Amino acid sequence: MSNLEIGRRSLLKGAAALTAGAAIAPISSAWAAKEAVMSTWGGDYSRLLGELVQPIATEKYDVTAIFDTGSSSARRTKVLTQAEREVSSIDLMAFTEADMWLLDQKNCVDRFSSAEIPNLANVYKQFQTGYSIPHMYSGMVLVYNEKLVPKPTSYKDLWEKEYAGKIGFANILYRYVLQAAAIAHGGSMTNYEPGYAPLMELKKTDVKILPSNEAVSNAFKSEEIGITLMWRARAYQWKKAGLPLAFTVPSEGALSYVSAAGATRNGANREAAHDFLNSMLDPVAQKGFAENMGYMPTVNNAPIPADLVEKIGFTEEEREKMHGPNFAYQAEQQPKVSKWWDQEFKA
Amino acid sequence: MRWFLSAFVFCAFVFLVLPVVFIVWVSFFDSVFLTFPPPSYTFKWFVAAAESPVFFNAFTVSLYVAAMSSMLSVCFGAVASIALVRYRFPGRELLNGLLLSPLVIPNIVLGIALYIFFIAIADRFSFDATASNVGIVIAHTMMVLPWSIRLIGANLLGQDVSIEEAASNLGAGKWTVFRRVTFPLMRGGVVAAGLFSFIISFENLELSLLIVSPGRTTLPIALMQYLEFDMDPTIAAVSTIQVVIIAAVLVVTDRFFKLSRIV
Repeated sequence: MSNLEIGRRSLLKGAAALTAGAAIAPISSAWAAKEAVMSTWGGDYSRLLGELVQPIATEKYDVTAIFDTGSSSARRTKVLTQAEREVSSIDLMAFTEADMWLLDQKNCVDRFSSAEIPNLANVYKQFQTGYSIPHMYSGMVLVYNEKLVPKPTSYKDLWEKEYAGKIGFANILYRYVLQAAAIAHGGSMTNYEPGYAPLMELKKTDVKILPSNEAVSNAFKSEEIGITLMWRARAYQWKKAGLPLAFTVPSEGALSYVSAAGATRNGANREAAHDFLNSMLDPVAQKGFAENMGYMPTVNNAPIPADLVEKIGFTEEEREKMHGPNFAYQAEQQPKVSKWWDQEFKA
Repeated sequence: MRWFLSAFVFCAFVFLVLPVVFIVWVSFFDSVFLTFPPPSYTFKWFVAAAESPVFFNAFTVSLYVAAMSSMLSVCFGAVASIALVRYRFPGRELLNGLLLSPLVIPNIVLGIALYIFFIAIADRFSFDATASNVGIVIAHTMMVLPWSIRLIGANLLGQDVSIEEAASNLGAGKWTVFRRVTFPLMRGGVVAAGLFSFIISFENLELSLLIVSPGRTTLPIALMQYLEFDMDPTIAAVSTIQVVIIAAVLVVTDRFFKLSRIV
């Protein structure tokens, strides 16, 4: 065997060393200065964080975020598991505002001031929490096919006879459907009771319950349904994809959705986390998310083009009229609402 | 009766294959929406999948984790199978039950338990397995180990012990008997175990969700996360590529080891 030939044993040794090295080497050390591990959704959200927020964080603060992507439930479990540790390996997290409230209740969230996150000063007051930043928002609007149904003006219009047999709801949005029904019939975000009976009445008009938001879009495409309740950002994406849809912000005020982010209470890189959160509220990043995902900026210094406002936006009056959740009431009612939906409404 | 049985088998085959056929079909739809029939056909979703660094990186992580965990599970599974099939010792049944227990625990529960365990280890020994691929390889090896033990063990049970005894009687040492007789006889089971372990690991979602390290993701997680914000057939294209790769692995393996004889 010449010196240049690789023996079977040395090849095996080399392969073992390589695989062991690849297994042990972390992507990057999360404990190094100016780095922060961020628990977040994957897909377009983490891609846009990388493309729109990361350059700002790098340029202004020399901070790099390492994204730990996964489903909300798995990520919530990870954050909760690490809550009692002296130092958590997760520094930042992006969740729905409801999840963020829950994590704050479990003492997992760092409470920061506007001195630590200067861009908080630009956030609309209605979205401020004290424990998280509102990254972007949208609202639950009436989405309809103009060819099939007349233009609605309010949530309550769903009970008008011209919409009978044309309504479809996404099963996963059941809580919001009840909230909308409650608001339409004199209830509020702290009183869902007025919504139950009208929804049972509506059910008699052959309401279609579709398993996912994607199933709703397919039902619009096949003209199986003519109207639904949907986040305006999602409906904007459907329209961009070619569905002939129109939107109406309900006169009662739309239900709001806020995608939030925060820092873990025991994260190792608190300063880097705050810098990245501040970058998320930067007007350039905020505009970028509006253009790409259809969610509205939560800061008052990120004006978006008028034509985009037309497609995704809410006027100042519509924004101020929005119904934000009461998380304590929502959490208390959750078992009752899901049981009613599954066992009575869908039965 | 024979006609009825053939019809039943055919229906069962169609039932099993139809979802795969639909996925492949949808991946060529020239429409974001799933409407039948499609307006036309296109390759653009395959181009989108190929150009996506997220899918490519996730694919390499999945490939690495599946290769490592199947290799480790076959090594441990072979040793455990020989011990369980060829020897009688106190606690044998208990050991058998313990080694097969990951089969009866839901993967999501296994994932949570392992995550808590790894965090406890990190706090005590300053080694965080969840910060690298070590954790996910260990978790996947645990998950697929019962399959290796069952497949290799079943293969060993079918072998004639007298051949090994004859080799011993003729003067071969234990290692020689294993190398020259036992291992060649159990090779079919080892190949089947390796294949099954690889496929189960490659397509796992629930366990990986908890254990995958920051900065990395596996293909099933990337597919699920893509669906959170997009609805086009790119994921059908990625799934089609995955199906083709796994089918190719099966066909190539079948050239060397007749899979129909071992599974």
